Amino acid sequence: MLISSFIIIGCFISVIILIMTEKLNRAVAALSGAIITYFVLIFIENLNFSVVVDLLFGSSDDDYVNLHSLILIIAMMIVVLISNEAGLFQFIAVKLIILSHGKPIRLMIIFCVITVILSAVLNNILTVIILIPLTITISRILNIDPTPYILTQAVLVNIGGTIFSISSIPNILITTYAKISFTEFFLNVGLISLIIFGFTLIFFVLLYKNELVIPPGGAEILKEFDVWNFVPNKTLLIQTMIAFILLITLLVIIPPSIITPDIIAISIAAILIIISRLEPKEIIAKVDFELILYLISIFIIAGALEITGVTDAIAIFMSNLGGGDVLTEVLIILWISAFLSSSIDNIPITKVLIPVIDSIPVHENPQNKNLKFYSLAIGANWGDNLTPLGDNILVMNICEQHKRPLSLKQFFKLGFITTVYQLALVSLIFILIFELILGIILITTIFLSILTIYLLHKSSTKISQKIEKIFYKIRLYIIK
Amino acid sequence: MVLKNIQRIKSALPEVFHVAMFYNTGIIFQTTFEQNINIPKLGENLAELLNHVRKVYELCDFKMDNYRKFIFETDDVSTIIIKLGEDSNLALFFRKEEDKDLKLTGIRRYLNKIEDLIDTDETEILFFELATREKDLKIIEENFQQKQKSLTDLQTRESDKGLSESELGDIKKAIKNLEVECEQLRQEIEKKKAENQIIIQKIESKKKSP
Repeated sequence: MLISSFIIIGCFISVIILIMTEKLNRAVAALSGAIITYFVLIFIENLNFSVVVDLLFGSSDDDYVNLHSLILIIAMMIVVLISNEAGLFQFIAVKLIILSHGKPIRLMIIFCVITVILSAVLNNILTVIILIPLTITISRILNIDPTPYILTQAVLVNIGGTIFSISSIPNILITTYAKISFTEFFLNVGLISLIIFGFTLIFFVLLYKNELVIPPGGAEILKEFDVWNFVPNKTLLIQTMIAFILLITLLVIIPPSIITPDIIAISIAAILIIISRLEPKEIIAKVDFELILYLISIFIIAGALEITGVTDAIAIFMSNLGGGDVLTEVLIILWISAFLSSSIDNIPITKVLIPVIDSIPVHENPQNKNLKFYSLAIGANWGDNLTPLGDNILVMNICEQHKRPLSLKQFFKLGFITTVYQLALVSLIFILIFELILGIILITTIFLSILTIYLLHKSSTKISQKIEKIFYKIRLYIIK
Repeated sequence: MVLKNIQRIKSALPEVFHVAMFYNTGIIFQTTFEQNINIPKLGENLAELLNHVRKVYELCDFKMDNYRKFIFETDDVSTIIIKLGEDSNLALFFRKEEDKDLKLTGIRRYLNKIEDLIDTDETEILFFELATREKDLKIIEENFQQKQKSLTDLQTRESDKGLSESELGDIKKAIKNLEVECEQLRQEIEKKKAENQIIIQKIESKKKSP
């Protein structure tokens, strides 16, 4: 068992390194790791092939969790592909942008809201592929620098990823495994994400308010931007809108014990393929099979880590680190998963940490286990912005292609500071849940500090100038 | 405003029966085509067309810093794609009634107008940033001059023999504070001027590059 554990750990680390260094395609790297894992399980551990099938799709014991995740991911891909063909996302985005009437702060808020709405239903990559060229086009019309808008969008894409259980692959993996319903996830993670989004928005507005200036005239031209130019077919647009509303409604009203979310989503996807009259072959060809191959390979490697006892060892280590205190464990999971997913793809991190969390002994209320899963969902999704690696490289590339290059330094500073700020706020919420008095003390301290600064600011011109100068310097450090 | 210019182009060139203004991303800003045409696909294909020509140039090792127009003629319809701004283009679809040379020079001023309206190039953004910074700099310089004036006034008062010990102490303290503030402002002005100079250099280098 020990030799197998070491080989599989080595295999997992090698796959991660290959993906990070981009030496090999991520699906091929993971597949190679999965093949080595297969040989270890069959020839060293003397297990039979049914174990590999169980790792791929799950077993009756875990209610075929992996298969459910795969079906849900494929179904969401199809629904999103057809909606994208219908121009639904661009249509909504431009409709909202026109509402800004060329007012800079309003435009910034609208861009941020659009980012969160889109990334709540799309994956991060598709969201930036749709939004960034659109933002640059709008900036060309309004005669403005798109940098603040793009940077804030790139940072907020991850918050949108934790609104719904279907918003990102880590969420799908977590909720399917832990049997967390769509509504339960939204009420516990989605709402927290929306609160943090509000705070982040305030932070961004304060940060960029002096930078956001729109020359006159642009708003009038923006009105002439014909939003219907994004729509190839009005009927298809309406069909996809109805499909999305129906999907969310069914996910909310039907309990997973009656019909699982993946079956609801795949049914909607099938209906949409039939009624859209799009060429099914073309839609199916656009499904990201590279991602599916990558996922199933990661399922095998992560499952093998569980079989060989590595997962249990990590769980014991994390439990000891937390000293049996649930709050500490939740915070450790939040920050560790965030920092791990800042440089490593969040899918393998999530897949490995899910059984780890499940193995951490529950000391008090069994409901607390779900809080650890919520913490993992937030950490794994939001951690991405701590470094300009991963999906953020795509943002830089798109900007460069459209002749509006971003500065890596600017991106790193804003991403890191905002993510730490967001994680600190979430930590505060968790502290309030577990240690109400400590939470209230912390909030009161923060509130009193802000009040003191405000009163000092109001007390005399000299102090006010000094405070403004300090804030100006901080602001400049972050955005320049 | 943009639509008005399209109408002017159409009246200047009556052979034009359709116009599509598009960005290199494939996004169509305005078009005279009806909704029964797949407009997003039209934009996508027009952008791809230019991209393919760009690739052909690369393959042949031809220099392509900037294209001006792309002409494609068939028996019934001729298409001319004209570069507007840094990232925008205008596709004009002509009904071919008789063989005659198309005189595009007459519509150039409308094109320049549209370019200004729908496409900002990077130099313009830099110009805009420079203007904002110059405005900030002017405010700081005015502030600096005011402080300098106050400092001179205080220094004159300091030499007044009739001042009491405490008054003199207060003035000395105020002078010291003002001197520090003036120095800080002077440093800030220098820093801002240096930053503006960098932007000016950027603009100049952009102007030199095609």
